[in-house]
Amino acid sequence: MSAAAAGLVVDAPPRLRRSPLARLVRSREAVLGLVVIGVVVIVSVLAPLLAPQDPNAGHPDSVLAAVGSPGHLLGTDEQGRDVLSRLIYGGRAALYVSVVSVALALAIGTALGLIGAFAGRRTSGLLMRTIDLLFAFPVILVALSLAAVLQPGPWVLIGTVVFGAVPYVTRIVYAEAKVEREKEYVEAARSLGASEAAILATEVLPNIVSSVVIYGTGLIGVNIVFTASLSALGLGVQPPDADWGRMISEGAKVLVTGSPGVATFPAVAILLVALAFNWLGDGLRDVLNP
Amino acid sequence: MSRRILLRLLGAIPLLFVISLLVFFISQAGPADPIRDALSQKMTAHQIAQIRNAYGLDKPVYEQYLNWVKSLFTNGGGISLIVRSQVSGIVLPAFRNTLLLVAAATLLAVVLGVAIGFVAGIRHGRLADRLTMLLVQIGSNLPVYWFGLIIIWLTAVEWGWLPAGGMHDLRNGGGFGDLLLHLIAPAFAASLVGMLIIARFVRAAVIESEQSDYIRTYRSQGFGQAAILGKHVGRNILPPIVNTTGLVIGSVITGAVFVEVIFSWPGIGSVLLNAIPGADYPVIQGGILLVAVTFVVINLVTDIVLDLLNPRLRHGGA
Amino acid sequence: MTSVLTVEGLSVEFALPGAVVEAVRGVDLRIDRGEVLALVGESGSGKSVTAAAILGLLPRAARVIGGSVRFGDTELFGLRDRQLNVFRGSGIGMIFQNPVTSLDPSFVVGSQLRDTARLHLGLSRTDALDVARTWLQRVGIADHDRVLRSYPHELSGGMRQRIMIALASLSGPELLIADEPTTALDATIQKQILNLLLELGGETRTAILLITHDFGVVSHTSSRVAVMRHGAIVEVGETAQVLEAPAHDYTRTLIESVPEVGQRHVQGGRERRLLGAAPATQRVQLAARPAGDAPRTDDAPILALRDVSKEFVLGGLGTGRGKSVVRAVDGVSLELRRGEIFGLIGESGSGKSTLARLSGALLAPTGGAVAFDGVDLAGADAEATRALRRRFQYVFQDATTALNPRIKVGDQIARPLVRLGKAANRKEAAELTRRALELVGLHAGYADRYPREFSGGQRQRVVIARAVALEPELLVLDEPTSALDVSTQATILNLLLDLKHELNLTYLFIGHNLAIVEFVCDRVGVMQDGSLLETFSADELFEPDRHPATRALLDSVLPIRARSRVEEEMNTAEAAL
Repeated sequence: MSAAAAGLVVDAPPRLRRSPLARLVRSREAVLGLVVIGVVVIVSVLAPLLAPQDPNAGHPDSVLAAVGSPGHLLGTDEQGRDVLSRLIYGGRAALYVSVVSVALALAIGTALGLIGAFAGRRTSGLLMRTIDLLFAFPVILVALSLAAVLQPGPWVLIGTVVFGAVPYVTRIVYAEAKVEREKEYVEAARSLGASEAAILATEVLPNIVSSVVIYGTGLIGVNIVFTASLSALGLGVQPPDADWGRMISEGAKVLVTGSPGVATFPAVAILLVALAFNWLGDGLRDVLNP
Repeated sequence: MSRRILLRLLGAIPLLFVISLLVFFISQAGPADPIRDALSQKMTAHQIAQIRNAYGLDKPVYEQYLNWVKSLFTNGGGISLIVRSQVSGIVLPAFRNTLLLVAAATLLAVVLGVAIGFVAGIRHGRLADRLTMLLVQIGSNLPVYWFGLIIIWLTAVEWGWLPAGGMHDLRNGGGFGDLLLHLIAPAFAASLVGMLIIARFVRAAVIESEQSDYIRTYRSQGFGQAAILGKHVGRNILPPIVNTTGLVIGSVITGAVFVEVIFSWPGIGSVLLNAIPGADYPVIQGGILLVAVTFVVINLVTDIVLDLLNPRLRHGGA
Repeated sequence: MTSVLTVEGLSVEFALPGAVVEAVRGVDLRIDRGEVLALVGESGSGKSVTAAAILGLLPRAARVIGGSVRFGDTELFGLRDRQLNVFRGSGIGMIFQNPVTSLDPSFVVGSQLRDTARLHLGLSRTDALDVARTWLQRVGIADHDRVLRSYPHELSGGMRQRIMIALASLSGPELLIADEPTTALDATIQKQILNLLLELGGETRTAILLITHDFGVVSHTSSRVAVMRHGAIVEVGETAQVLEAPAHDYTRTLIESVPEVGQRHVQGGRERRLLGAAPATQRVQLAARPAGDAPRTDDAPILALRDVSKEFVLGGLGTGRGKSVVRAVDGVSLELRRGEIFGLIGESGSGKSTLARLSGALLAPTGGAVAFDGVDLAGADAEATRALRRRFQYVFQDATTALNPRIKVGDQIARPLVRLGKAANRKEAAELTRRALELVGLHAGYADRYPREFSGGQRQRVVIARAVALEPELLVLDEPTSALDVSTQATILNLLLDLKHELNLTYLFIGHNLAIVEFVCDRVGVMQDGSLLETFSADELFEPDRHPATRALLDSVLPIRARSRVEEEMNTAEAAL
């Protein structure tokens, strides 16, 4: 037995580590974000049970009721529809569209980014230059084009978000994968018999996933706001469905004439949910990159 | 260096080509057959076919494409299916208005964004920075539509400083000062997202620069804070600013479309939004193409400027 | 007469999230006119923080919580930036470790020199430029005008450091603080820069505070030395005295951790180790089943490089840069005998790293052939490559990047064992992993930890364990200790020597430090600009027929003690002609 194995090691023993969940809970921001998101998700899912009234039913005799009116906690809009009920139902489309499209964009963007980082110089150069060109492209033009082709609706929103998010995610993944690719543990894996594909999947990907997740939460937040705004323009969710974005444009006319709540409550809801995703992302950043 | 610029210019050509193809395909991929929808109630099949022929809609696809591209240069982009006048007559004046709005918004975004970012960066870690970043965070997550409405409410209704919308005061016939007054609010609303993007980048660049080794060298030589800030930090954060301006313009254009609706600004956003329900493809295509091409050109100019500013490229160093 | 600098009881604290770290604890220092004081310590000792604290250049998270710093008669502690600026540059000048990042990348060198000259000497633009030119000459730069118009990234490391010295000196400071000024430079340049510093200091009787981790530097430059550890000074005294007879154990460890030129691990037929450790030479078996083949006894070289070349293509279409071809390795032929330790040495850009990677089959040669045990690596198919991979392995320089931060250490050793067929299943692999960890001196229970939970030296042991778990025949070691502290370096070198005997290995050892290469290796090869200049037995290092490049390397070694011993050896060898 060598002297080393006899335990004559000079170095100090390593310290203990905390579990990821414990670390997440220590971040106030992350907890706050999770709580808000949790509430919104639950409310949206249980909307039929929680909404006091039918969100699309107009009461012509109680148009523009004030906040706190009997039966209408947050008032009614121009058509007499209960704002609270519409608010409860209104988050569904936004959440659904944002989460689905961001998830899609993350998958596509990660794949493209990894390809860009590991492919040959020509392929990679061409791919990344294309992505760079698409990156800053005014997304509104895509929204308008899609609306012209598909007619306004949720698919316009999904398509626009994916178009806008994929270059963003691709660039991030490409940059990080490229850095990792140069690292010696990748070379070591090669010298230890791993194939390129195996290296991508088992060595590099775990080092990128946390970044992707963090950026993903940020993207969801941004796109909740953006899809709401597109719906406000009439490109997304169509009337008479309740949607936070649409509620803002519907409430626009009466904002200045004494019923600001119709447009403002949904705006605040959008802001809160988006911020919640941001906070969650910040909290995750501390957890995943100690 | 000039070779580099030439390459950039050449690289833009395939991009423009692809964009034109995609824009063209809007009309091909759209569900509605505009002729039939617009006119079918009263016309016979023969008359419909004649009109089709007049619009060139019965020719093969690639010929239609070439005709369309040709018409952009010679025929004012074709005829609107709804208004029956030249597309260019509808689109160009509106585009000019939008350009004005975008230019003003970009200017605001850059000036305010740099200022906010710079101040926050210098006061990194202190109250001013934290407060600013909180406002930035809220502002980035605010629906622009609602933000614009609030601005109108405050500036036009509550305080009466600025007009509530439109581009000119119809009663007095306008004038430069009047235009400016009408421009401030919508430009500010459109600049919000872009401004905050720049603010974040500038702040990050200032912080990184301040903590960099070469700034430490200057400090060790006794240069005062003002000298360091002005010349050295500023010079080294210039490229990231120019770099993000391309991204900012993209978001400003997006913001402008929203803002035009809220503030009744007669720009191309309004034109396009109106053309979509009616499936007025010539107008839609003309409008989108115009904006897209303008964007590509601006990006090109920005990239070239960035190259000129980069000392590593100027001297061909590694 | 008051000292130029008097530091008393200096204490500095770092406020990190969740913890407060005492970086400097009650440090006392004194430097007089014309004196060179060396401040020695390993990473984390607080030496750089002390230097930064003197000029008030600490990062935001750090705070001076006590003590006094007197420059002449003036107390510097507690002064505001504006008041400190009076002393910065003109009273106290500072030279930093990394000249790459310490010079402003957006301005030409000339403008930086000019601005500094104008600030301190109040000259006009043209006069300041003249001063800049004069100083370039003084620091040994010949091509003034070209250099003045160049950007920092266009100049070599040595030139950048000379410019930093010029920048710091042109305002005529009474004290120069040099924070590891030569650590990032090649050995030959290092000696020149140190001599330049001494020259300038001698001319103007400037006091110099030289911060370093290298006792060779200490011996070469300083009249007094202070040793720091964990934020406190453990020993201080006249350099000659401290080096001959160190009073503190830590000082002794530091001095004895680096081999002197002329020392070898085999001397008079007996094995030796650094720090007086006992050598371990007993043969050890890792795998439960004995190795298939009987020990080879034939003379065939285990690794043969025949006229190997490697070219890299930089830039080109899609990258935004002009295309250029770099010939990193140019026609190198080399044979490694079984059981020997072959050392490869050269300065940066010599191609030794590339050659190491070629030998370890991490790169394919553009010309020539690399053969392991007679088998050409390029020609082997997938199955043959897999079989070969088991037989030679690579040990990387920086264990931080050589280990995957997201995978447990044990898994990183075990997975390749299954993949390459060394272990039949996960259970066998786990057992083998445990044995490998213990062999390199780590507790087997550590297999469940992530790399970030280990210290630098422990991580390097893991990298070694990963390589030897396969029980290979050849190890290619690419500067395996360069990234480590001096004391850790010694233990790792001892481990490597022990392992060679315990596992019957052959080593290709890449090094940058001639003394270490000479100590560890049996034969040495010298590389320069991609070519292998010569190979010789380690005993023959001092022979007069050595290549001029080798002699230059030998000249630039900074011995710790017995400065004359190196010269003695060289004189004896020459006299024997």
